[in-house]
Amino acid sequence: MTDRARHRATAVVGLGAAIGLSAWAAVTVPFTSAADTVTAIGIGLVALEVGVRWRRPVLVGGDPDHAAPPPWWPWLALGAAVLALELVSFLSGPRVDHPTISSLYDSATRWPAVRGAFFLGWLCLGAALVRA
Amino acid sequence: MSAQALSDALWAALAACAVAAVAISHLAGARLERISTLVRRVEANRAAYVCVILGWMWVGWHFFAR
Repeated sequence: MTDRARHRATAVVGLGAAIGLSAWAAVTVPFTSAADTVTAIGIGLVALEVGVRWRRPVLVGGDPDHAAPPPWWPWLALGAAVLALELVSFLSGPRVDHPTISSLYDSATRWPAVRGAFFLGWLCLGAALVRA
Repeated sequence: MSAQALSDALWAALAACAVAAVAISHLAGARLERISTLVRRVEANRAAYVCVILGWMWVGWHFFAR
């Protein structure tokens, strides 16, 4: 099996596992052992991958089309704005008038499919962070 | 405008800004760094890499388990 075929097979197996875990997460409820277990499995899989890749050198490359990298400060400004609104909402009340990210998430995940989609997105983000 | 409507509008505006920023960063000759490149740059520092991964773990535990 070539490296490319092995890489593709690993990606397919990983995606299948992520979809399976997300389907399980979709039917769990926070503060239960099932929710703890499925989340711990996701965290454990990413932690395992981090351990495997830990000794590999980190390559930092820019876009070859740009002589100087484009600015990154707008991301910092966006993050600061999110943090500020989260803090203001958290310190204000009642929560129905000033929703935090957590309360927005709770409203959105009344439907299991949405909860599963969020879980899949979280797993994909973890995989992307490890492979970055 | 009620406080709830204002809060919802602010969150929606921030979400729209995030989507727009991602789209802009992927345009040819973009004037905004891609978030993947930014993450790679941050993760080149091992301590920052560990912080990013721990942050990801906390987000998952906070939203899905607790």
